[in-house]
Amino acid sequence: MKTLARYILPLLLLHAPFRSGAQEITFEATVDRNIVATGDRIKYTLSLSNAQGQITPPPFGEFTALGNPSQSTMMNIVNGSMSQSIGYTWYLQAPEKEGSYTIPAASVKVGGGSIQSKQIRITVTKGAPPATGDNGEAATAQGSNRDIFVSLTLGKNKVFVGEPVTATWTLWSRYQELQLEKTDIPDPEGFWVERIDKGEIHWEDKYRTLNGMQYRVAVMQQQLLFPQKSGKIKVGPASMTALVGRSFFNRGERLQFGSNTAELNVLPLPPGQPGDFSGAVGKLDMVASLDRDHIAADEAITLTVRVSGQANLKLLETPELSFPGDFETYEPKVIDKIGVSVGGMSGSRTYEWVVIPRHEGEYALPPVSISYLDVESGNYRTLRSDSLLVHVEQGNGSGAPVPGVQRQSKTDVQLLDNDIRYIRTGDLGLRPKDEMLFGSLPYIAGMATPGFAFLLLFLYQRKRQGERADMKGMRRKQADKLARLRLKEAHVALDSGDRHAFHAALSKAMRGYLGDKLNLGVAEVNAKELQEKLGQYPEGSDLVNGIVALLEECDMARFAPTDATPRKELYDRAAALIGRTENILRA
Amino acid sequence: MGVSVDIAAQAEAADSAYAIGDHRAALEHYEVLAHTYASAGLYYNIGNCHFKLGNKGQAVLWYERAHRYAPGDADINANLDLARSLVVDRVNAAPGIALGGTWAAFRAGTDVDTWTKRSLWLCLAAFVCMAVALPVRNPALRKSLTGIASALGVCTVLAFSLAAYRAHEMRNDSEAIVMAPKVDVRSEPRDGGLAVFVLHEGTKLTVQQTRDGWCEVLLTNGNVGWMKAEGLERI
Repeated sequence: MKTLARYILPLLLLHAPFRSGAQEITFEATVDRNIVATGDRIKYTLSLSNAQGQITPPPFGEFTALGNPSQSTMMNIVNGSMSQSIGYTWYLQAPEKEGSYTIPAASVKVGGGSIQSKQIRITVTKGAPPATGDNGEAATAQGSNRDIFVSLTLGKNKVFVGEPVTATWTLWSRYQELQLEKTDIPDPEGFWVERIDKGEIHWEDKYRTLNGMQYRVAVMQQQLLFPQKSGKIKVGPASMTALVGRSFFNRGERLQFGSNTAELNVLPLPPGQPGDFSGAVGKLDMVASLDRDHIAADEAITLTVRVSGQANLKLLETPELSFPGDFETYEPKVIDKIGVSVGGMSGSRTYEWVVIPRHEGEYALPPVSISYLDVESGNYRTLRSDSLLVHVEQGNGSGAPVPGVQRQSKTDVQLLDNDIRYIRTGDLGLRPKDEMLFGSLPYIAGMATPGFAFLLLFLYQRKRQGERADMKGMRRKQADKLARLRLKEAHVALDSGDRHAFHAALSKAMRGYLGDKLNLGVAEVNAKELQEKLGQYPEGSDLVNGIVALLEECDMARFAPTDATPRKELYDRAAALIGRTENILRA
Repeated sequence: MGVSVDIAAQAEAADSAYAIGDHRAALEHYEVLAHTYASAGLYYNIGNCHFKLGNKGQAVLWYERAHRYAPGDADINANLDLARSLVVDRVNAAPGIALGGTWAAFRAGTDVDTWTKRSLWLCLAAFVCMAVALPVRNPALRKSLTGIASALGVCTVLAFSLAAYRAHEMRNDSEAIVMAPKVDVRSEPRDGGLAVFVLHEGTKLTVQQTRDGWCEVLLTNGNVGWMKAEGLERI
């Protein structure tokens, strides 16, 4: 039912301006357009309806007819009445000079009379813009199918690795009715691809002319391509499927069409890359800053490095920073504010390092540097920040490590590079050349002197020892002399044989001698006192025992009838004891 | 007095030139000093200048000279090691600073002057000890003092021997460094002689004999050959 209604309704509507009567004879001249560029072509059609006759084409004048006209016949049967028309079409090439031209009227002889067509005024404008890349590409794309195709246009055809290039995919169509079914625009290989957001696809307001034909044009997609390798890289083709010419009566035609292939010449990066090359190609600017430059140990500071400009920022390599050794650092936080447009990728990328100094002191963070390839000059440029100074004070309370509890993780000292050690400064200890202490006169003297000195000392010692031995003998002699002097009385008594007198004299002489020598009264010469005075000397006790025994024997002998010990022996013992006492006291 | 001021000024000028990186000027100043004076530090600094100027051979030569004066100096050994590592030939990599055994380290670790001074002090100490022992009556004390004195005497003899040995080493001028960037060592002392091996700048070798401007050289690996005398410089 529904299907039937679809057909019936328009038929009814067609009946509305109902016309009856004989078929009108018309003769018309038409062109496909009346504004044309120099050298361009126009289609000039003469059509005669409901009659037969001999058509005389007008003189085309400045226009050049390209070949013979093509003839077409059309027959329409509408509501039982038939109408037919015949058409002749010429392709005319517009003159090389711009201006206003007129194609004169054509005439046709029908029956007895003739019918004239109208004149047609054609304006020839300045020639189409010289084949730009756009049209050039489009012209190649036009190749196979002139009615619908996709053109691929590259912004540049020679770029450095990493330098962005725009790829524009444009749909050109002469069909009014168009329904895209499938669009396949591949991401080309060897590129980092960023799509530029264009919103919805729409036809451009103006028609575009290509090779004298008018097209409706829509940009299907724009891509920003960042080549990742050098060489000649092919981009495309895209392929599409569309349903065209679909109308009320027509189910349309399914067409498959494609785009051209573009070739991009990607140049390798010029030689002489700096060590800190970031991979960026374009134009960059950099700002490095610290949030604070006065902090306490174990507190965190943030080092911010903002790289901005127009380049492949998303592919930027993180700059290498060498912080002072005892700074704790973490991976940087990356904040991107990057926009993609036809002009390329632009915006900024910000790196934020959180850094914790562990010890107090003055530190200079090394300058941050980034190199990029300046596209305009084709040279590498290096951006370098100033050296940033940080003053770290001693950590306060909470932050300070508690001994024994919190221990810092130790890392090995990293050897960055090998170099020789620094020169010796200050006193070099210079000596005249070819002079050696060993074997020199001072050395021989130095070695000989101690030995010689020792020899002298030894000889001196020898001599003194001899002298000392001599003194001992003399002292003994003197002691003997004194003893003899003291014992003189006893000696007289001994010689005279007076027993009683001998013992009394001997006892008195001993006591007198000891009293004088030891500074004692006669009554004090007893065992206890003697021990006290003489006991301190070596062999002193022995001597005291000898003296005490002698004195006792003398006292006993004075009252005894006979001599227990011969008197001569007693006398000798007394003399020896005096001598020994002398020696002891003098030593 | 005037002379010593001149030395100080010369050294000062050299140091400051080196500090700002003008190694050529520093080298000139040091070389003026080296005409008349010698010391481990001076030779070390000259070696440093040559190293910075890229003269491998000269750097090795002067470090070797400094090394003779102060074999135990860590800075000299480190730089000599680094300079040697740049030498192309590997023949002299094995011996040298990597000393085998404690004895060798002890022997070579100190320069001739130190040993000479030590022998003097030890000699003095030994005789002082003996002199102290002379008047002592106590037999135990006397015995121990004499013991110490004789031990010191033994040490004196040892120090003397080492000083003599190192003095002999110092006076030995048979060791040399190759100065030419590349030199052919031939089997005979003439230009047409068969080239037996090739040596490069900085390699250390021993000169065994000299004949008409040609030197017979011995490498540490035992190879022997003849090369022109101008291609090497004695340490």
